[in-house]
Amino acid sequence: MLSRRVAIVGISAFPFRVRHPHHTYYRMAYETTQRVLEDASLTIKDIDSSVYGIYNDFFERQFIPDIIVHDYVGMALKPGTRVTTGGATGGYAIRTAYMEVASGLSDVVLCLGVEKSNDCWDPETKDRTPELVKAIAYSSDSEFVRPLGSFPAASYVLPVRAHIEKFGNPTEESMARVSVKNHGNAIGNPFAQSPMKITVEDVLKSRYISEPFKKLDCCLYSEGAAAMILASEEKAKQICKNSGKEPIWITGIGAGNDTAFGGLRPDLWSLTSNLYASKQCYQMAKITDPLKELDVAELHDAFTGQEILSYEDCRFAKYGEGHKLIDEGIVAEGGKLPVNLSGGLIGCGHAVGATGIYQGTEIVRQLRGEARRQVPDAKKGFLHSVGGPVTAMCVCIIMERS
Amino acid sequence: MAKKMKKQPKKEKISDQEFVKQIEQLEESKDFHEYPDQMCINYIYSTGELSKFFKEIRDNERLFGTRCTKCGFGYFPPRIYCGKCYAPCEWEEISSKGQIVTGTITHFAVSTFTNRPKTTIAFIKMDDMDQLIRHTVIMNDEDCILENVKQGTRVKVKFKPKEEREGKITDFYFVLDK
Repeated sequence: MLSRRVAIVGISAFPFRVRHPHHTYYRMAYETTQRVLEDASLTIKDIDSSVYGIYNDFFERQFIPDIIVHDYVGMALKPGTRVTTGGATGGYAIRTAYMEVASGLSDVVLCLGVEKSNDCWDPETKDRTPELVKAIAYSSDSEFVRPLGSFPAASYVLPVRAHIEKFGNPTEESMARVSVKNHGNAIGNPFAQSPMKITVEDVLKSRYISEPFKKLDCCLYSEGAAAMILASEEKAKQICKNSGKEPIWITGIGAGNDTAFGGLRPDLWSLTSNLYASKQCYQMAKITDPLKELDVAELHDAFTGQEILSYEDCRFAKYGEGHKLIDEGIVAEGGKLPVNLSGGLIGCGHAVGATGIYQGTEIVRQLRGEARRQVPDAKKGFLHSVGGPVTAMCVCIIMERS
Repeated sequence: MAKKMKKQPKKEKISDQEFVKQIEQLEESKDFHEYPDQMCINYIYSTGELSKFFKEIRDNERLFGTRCTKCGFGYFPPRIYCGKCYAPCEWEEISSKGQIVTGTITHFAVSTFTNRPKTTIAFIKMDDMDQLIRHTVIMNDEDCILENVKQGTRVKVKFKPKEEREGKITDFYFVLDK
């Protein structure tokens, strides 16, 4: 345990949409920073340092885009660090900001995630997604994996297939229920890209992308941003007294990165990095029975089957029994542990560097009691941020209301 | 010197809904500028200590893995140090046969390897090695069903014709070993 307690004292988000052609990434960053400062009743002068979650240089068409953001949001001559850990960029950005405050290096830190993605464009086909997926493919090993034609759905479906072969589940119906839940939860969320009222049938009828994942089992890539302000205990109390917002404490953080090659993992059916990261964060927050003790969770549901496997590795369910949580409504709104009430990645979209931070802001809203699908009297929330080759990188965070 | 501006009245806080509405209104207009661009760098990439692996594929149609001298773990694709034991690995020629551990059929062609809209990607355990290699299994249409991409399906390496081999991982692929 580090020496200083750390609280989240401000949150903001910029809507996740297919494209924001009227906004450069640094303008999205600026607007999101302005909103988070408003939320905390601070000015940029009050910020000691910043952490930027920006995933892919090809997306922004810019290497070290963080210095441009840093300048644009008015942080010149202060420290700023970029974090880029694939889909786990957001979670790792929060972890880095946490370390800056807990260590005593900074008192008030801006943690900002931003991503452009759909400027990627193939002039021959006039299509965006395959070009964007090509940009992502450079995140897989260039010697042995990328040349074979790699894309995220094919990578993330493999543990799910291994799980199906071992346990006989999750079925396509269970996965479809996750899609229905998350698309449905996004309804009414102004930041969400894909709010939809759909049925299990609709999901099952959508075309295969990577068997058994179908189109509606997959999240969409988005452009968007999200931000948090983290502060030391002393500063948090001052800031929150002034803003009238409740400080939300980070009481547990765990992280773990697995092998870069899935082929080196003995249990392909388990997302082992998720198991290690969640175990570490539960230990720090003194949680022994997450399903019982947690009130709300946001999981990295890039794909429906991945959410179900995460239930098991985050120890909400025993191995082989994760599907019961969705089949029996335990993770639905009003259930024992609602998961992805924001809509998750499937409902909100995936603005990669911003995603984990955005899901974190949704946990903060729940704990403040100002969420759209409010869990009554939510006290403890869980954030799960995953990325890298075959879910190699994972950060888990526990947030609590005092 | 910058012109001294009049003091602005304090901006009123707006709700999330209002904020999003303002952005959506702005984004409705088609009046923005865009131009085509690309990020592209050429390489003559050196494969370093892995050169043997690539040269043997290209020149001799032979497959080489490596084995840790301490724990005996077989790496394929090869690496010359064992990350678990911090011991060196030794080169070892391996058989071209193995079996699928898990796999999927993809319907989204991004591959530079094949233009097939339907491709099989699988983790394959070579008979002589421990690490699984993720590779492509090329099947004809009636074979390309999930039933054939399950645990235990026997596969073998097929090399591309000599004139097509470049000393890359794409110089070979897998086929069903019927």
